[in-house]
Amino acid sequence: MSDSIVEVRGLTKAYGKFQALHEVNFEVHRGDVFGFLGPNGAGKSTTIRILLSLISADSGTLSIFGMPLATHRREILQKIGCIVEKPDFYKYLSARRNLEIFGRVSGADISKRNVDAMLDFVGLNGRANDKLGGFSHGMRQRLGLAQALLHEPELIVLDEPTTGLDPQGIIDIRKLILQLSREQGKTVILSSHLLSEIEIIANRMVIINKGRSLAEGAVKELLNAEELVVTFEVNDGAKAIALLQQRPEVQVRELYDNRLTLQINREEVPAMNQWLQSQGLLIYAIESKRKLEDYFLKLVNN
Amino acid sequence: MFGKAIYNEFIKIATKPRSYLGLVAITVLVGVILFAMKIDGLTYIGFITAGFEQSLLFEGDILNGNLMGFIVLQMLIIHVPLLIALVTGDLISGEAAMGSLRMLATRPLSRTQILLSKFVAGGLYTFLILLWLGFMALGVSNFMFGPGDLLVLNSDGLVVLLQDDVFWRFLSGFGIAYLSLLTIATLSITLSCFSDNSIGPIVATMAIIMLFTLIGSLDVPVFDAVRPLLFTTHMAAWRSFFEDPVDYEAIRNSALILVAHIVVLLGIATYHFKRKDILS
Repeated sequence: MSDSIVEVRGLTKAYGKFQALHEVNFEVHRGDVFGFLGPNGAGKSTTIRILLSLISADSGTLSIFGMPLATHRREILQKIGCIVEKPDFYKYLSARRNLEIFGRVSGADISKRNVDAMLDFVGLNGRANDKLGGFSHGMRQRLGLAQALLHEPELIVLDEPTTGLDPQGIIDIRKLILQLSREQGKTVILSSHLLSEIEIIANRMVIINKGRSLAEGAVKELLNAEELVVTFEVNDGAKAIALLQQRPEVQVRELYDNRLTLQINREEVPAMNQWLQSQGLLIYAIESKRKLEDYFLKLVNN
Repeated sequence: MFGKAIYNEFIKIATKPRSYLGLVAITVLVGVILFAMKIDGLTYIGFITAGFEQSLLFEGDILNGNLMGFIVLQMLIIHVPLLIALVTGDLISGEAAMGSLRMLATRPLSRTQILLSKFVAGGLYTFLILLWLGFMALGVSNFMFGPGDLLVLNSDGLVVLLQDDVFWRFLSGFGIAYLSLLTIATLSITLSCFSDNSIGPIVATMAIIMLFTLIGSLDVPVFDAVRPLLFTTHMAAWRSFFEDPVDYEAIRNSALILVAHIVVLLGIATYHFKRKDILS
């Protein structure tokens, strides 16, 4: 039996003459933290809105929990918690009242105790009775998560959940997503334009650009995550290049202003550092980045 | 779930400050009218009765609570639609502008349930506004001026309704007035489905009322065919209960046209809202 929770096939959507999605395909498995990666305007939000039945697709099939969304909307949405873009609540109501309102129509039996526990979970218990007019973006985002989790959904859909948050807020949200996945076995779909975010949190992903799904699979497989692009800042770049010509197994990618960029494995970095120093070169700095950015940019630019 | 959705909608209306504008406005307006009548009401009544004083002898307290109630209703029933539209015109578009409609639409409620829950809550709000207007118009008037027979001046002449024969007429009149106001509420909710800002549907509702009222009052043959079909033509149908004899045929006709408007408008709203892409 397939453990697919979400299956999207040939999804298309146009707004007037603008084709927002062309034949988008992907599959989300039970327990995945599924990254939905793409630059701004790639079609991530449109896909997520179709997934949540906020907008209708022009063509394609979409099944969630093995049921077509078109005919089982209500059963499906009962099992989904979501934040689409930013969580917009009723500003004239308190945090507690807002949660009560959304909990009441979630399809689950939500008690006051559940609401209090969820406010405590997202760290808003002290502000439960305050109206949302005075809440910061980070607090609203946390309340959005509380709203998404209140009815204990099986699938959580988060559209750019860290946008606009401060560094601590970003760390908190990421921790929370991992906690939901690892400790509670929830399936999470996470859209982001941040490569690093997907890399840190997701185990599977689809890359989307200009409304097309470009690649889909396990993050590690897609990115060969052990392979790094490392830049050594040396005192003599020309000498470094000459020395490296003696080592054809090392792939030199670029030399620019004494900054030498190599493609090597993570384990080879200390040895390369020692070797360059042993050849009389001074190393001022070492920077590394994963191939993810290269991979992503290559896909997107193609 | 639908019941919970209606409860939610009513909570939202009840906690929104603008919902109380209608109650405050009615209180102030009725207060001003009753105060003016208490001070100088006999002069006002004099204008009404002046034409009949040579042929009729008026006895008793003409300036009573029932007459005040009738005058207040006549003066205010044309202003109440604005107070209703202020709240009902915001029910969908206000949420679209705020972004909360997006969150609401991802809950396991059908679009029809979302729309109908707002319609029911809007209808209940309309009823409460009318109830308050009724209390202020009749209750406070009777408290201030005391009961008495009701003199009604209409196009056929002067109708005198005995004190004991008045209450059921007010009650029935309120029923028809409620249908008129519910038509306004439905119109503004329908317009609200087509907009993502909260002011547009309110202004559009008032513009349509003004346009239809204008068409209704322009005595030119070109509008003869449409005039009987406009809901504004039937908004004053409540007054028919204060004629003697009561023209039940005309009242039934007005009620049917108002109900037809409600059904058609709600149908349009449902059709559009079910297919609407929620982008905001």
